[in-house]
Amino acid sequence: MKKNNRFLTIGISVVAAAALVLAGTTPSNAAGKKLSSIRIAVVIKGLDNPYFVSVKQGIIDTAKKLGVVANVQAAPGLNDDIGQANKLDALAGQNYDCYIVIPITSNNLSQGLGKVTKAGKPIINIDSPVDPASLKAAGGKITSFAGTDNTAAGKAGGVSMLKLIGSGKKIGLIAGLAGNVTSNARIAGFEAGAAGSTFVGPVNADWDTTKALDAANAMLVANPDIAAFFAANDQMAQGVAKAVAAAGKKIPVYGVDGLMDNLNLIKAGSVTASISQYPYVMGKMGVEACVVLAQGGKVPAWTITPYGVIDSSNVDVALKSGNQTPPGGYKDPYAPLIKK
Amino acid sequence: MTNNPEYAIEVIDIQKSFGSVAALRGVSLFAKPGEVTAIVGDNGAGKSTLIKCIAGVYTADAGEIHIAGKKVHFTTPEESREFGIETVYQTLGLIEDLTIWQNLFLNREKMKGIGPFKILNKKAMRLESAQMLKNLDVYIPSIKGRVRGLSGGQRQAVAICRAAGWGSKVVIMDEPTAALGVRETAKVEDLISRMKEQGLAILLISHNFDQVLRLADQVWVMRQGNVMAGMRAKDTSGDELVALITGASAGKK
Amino acid sequence: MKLSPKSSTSSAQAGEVETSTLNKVRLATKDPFFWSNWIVVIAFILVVLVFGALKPHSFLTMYNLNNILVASSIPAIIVVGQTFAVATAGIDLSISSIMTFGAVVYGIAFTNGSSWWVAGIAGTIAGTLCGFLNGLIIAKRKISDFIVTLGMLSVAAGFALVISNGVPRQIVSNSLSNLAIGGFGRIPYLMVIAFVITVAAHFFLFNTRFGTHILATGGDPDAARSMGVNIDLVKIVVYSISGTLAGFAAMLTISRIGAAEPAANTSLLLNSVAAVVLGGVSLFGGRGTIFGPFVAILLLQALTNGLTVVGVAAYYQYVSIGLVVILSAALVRTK
Repeated sequence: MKKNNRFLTIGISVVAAAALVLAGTTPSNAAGKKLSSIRIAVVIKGLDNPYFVSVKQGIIDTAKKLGVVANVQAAPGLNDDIGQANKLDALAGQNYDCYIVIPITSNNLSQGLGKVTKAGKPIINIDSPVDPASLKAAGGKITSFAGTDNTAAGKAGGVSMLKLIGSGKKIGLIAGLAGNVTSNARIAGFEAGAAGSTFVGPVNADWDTTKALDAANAMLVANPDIAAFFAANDQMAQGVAKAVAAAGKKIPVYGVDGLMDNLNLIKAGSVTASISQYPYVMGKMGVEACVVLAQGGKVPAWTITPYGVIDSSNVDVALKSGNQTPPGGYKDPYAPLIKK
Repeated sequence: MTNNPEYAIEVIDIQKSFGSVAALRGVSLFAKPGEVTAIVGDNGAGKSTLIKCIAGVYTADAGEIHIAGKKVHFTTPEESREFGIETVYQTLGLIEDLTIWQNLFLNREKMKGIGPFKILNKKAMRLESAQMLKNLDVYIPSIKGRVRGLSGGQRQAVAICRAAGWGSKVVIMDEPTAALGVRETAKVEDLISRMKEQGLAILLISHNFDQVLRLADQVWVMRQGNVMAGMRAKDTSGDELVALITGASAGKK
Repeated sequence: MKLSPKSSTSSAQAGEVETSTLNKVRLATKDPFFWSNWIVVIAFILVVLVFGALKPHSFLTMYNLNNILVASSIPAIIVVGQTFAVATAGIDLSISSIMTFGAVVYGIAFTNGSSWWVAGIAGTIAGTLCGFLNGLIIAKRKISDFIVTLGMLSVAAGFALVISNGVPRQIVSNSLSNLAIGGFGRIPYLMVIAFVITVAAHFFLFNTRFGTHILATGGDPDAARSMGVNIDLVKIVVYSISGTLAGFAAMLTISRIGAAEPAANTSLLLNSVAAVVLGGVSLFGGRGTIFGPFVAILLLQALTNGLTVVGVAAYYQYVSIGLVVILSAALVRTK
């Protein structure tokens, strides 16, 4: 760069930066709003995962049904923790009535949430909880959390599997990323639900179908008497099912999440069951909670969203409804609080 | 041959082999200051290997190199350069995206400041670059321009000025006009003549016999790693050179 | 002798010829580098104007300016290292993994009782070592930059998982988080740090001997070597700088997200390469600018921020950002 245009470059950057500063902020609105004037900001995880696409769908459908505005933003990628924080920062200073967040890590949104709380706006945290300590340090406060209980979901899977194979059998466990909180909770819950069995593993397959296939192959070679498999998510269950089929066995394979792909596999018989988590319902509850708060109402601080075992007995119902909500219905503490 | 202090450079019985291939089988020749000394020979005669030994790119297996009568020894191009030997390769060694003055001072940058906090003295380098070009009557529109924007002849001129401008005593040029048109060739030949007038010893490698006879004072003919003949340029002819190069004539030492 | 006298007004036979400002500008616009430097600035101004017109009360606020500056600062530091690598006609694909590795080292040092800045030094040195290894292998084994840093991408990410056992470590430090939140007046500390590094890098590249040698190595390694430039040293230093900055940026990332995460954030890598090209640095080396990529980072972050503020749906954001990158790069190419 030549000297003269170098200085011009800096000069123009400064001018442009100054232009950013010109206008002032607008004050936030008071509570008790009409449905049509309610605006909700949403920052969720990367949309390269069907689970979060389903959350997004629940938010958009519910917002449309209620007639409120929702700006749904997602992290640029599954691991882009800073990128997600930037998105929340961009929305935090604006005139939204309420914020819905799913943090990529338990800490990455804390500073942005601090800004939201300082602006006097409520925050609904869905799916993955924000770490309370880092949130407190940043001056943030979560008004309501709606998420699954992964331990309970794992436990339901364990109980269901025991009914199928009986007590005292060998069960292979396939976990997600080493040290991942969700994976650990699901595995621990399953072990509690299937107490009395002998467990092989858990082996970490990093949430990946192919890695799960390899892991299950190795486990079957070492332990030909494995009577069933439990994988901590559905994508890994798909891999396990392939390994089981390749070994010429017919043993139960369980996964977690309730992905449509797996429901089809359950119908086809290669996967036995999936403990469905209903991300669609989380999105729906998030919007409902925001609407209640914007109308000046109060919401429960903690709601466990539904989960349920989908197997051959109820897979047809689940498939027909797109598995957005549990086949047997569920309790929604937020919906009745909305003033129409 | 004895080592004569009047010779800018003298190589004595240089030998160099690559594995079992003997590229130089005992080459002896000299170049005087203020003269153009041409080295001619067919491809594979050993010209390139010889100048690379002189430039420090290769180290000879045996033999001596004398600069102004003193025996010297070097193993790298930098050391050779310290003895005042500069080389203009066919590829020129210019960086297209750097300016002319940056190229003239590449790896010899003038600095200012104290201790480790030295920064480039750009102004001094620009001034001196202009002087270096002026010394050889080379005119380039702007020394602040990049080499990318120069013609082939201009680039050759910049590379030659760089080689001549460092208090050097011997400048080796490998086919300096091979890639140039008629007009630019004439300009580069003028430039070589001016360098000669300034007392530099110029070692010229060329396939162009007309050019050799036009420019050179002394001619050495190489064949198969040996020097076949050395004579004053005014005493020889193109036909004689061809005969020596191809081996049709045995030559005289 | 006159070798094609193109311009009668600016001959340079005897020293500096003083030219008028107008003439300097005229000369500058003839330089092919000029337009590649300016496209990114023009694009940045356009982005600011467009979003400013669409959302004057939310995009054009002090608060949001602050957001854009904070969001730009860490990528701006990373892009300096990438610029050096690309200026030598190389590329550093390992920066995001080195950053992750640096973050994990930071986390281990911090949770073992080091203060926030001692841990920062540890993380930075970890980055330097990775970068030094990159440079050493590239220079001494003559393996292409692409392959070596691609390998390091995996090695550093793997080591980050190994030494952290895959577990994120929470970093609770008021001083550190203050680094991310606070600032001098309205200018965030993070941006001040990024700007100081950018200015220092510019000075290093254009006012030191070594900087010239970096550009020479990138422009024509054979010619540089024939002039005695130590191109091995250039490679080693350049990748060490890149690694060091990645290790240092790890600390700033932790200051923002409050944890040392063992998972690599690859969008930083992609952004850095895009910004280097948008900023007018030739991927073939030898042509460098430090402020160009800096403005390019501001452009990319202002764009992401603006799209978010305006409420463009996530899927379309990928498309828009990609289009801006391709369009600007195309303009840079055509000059």
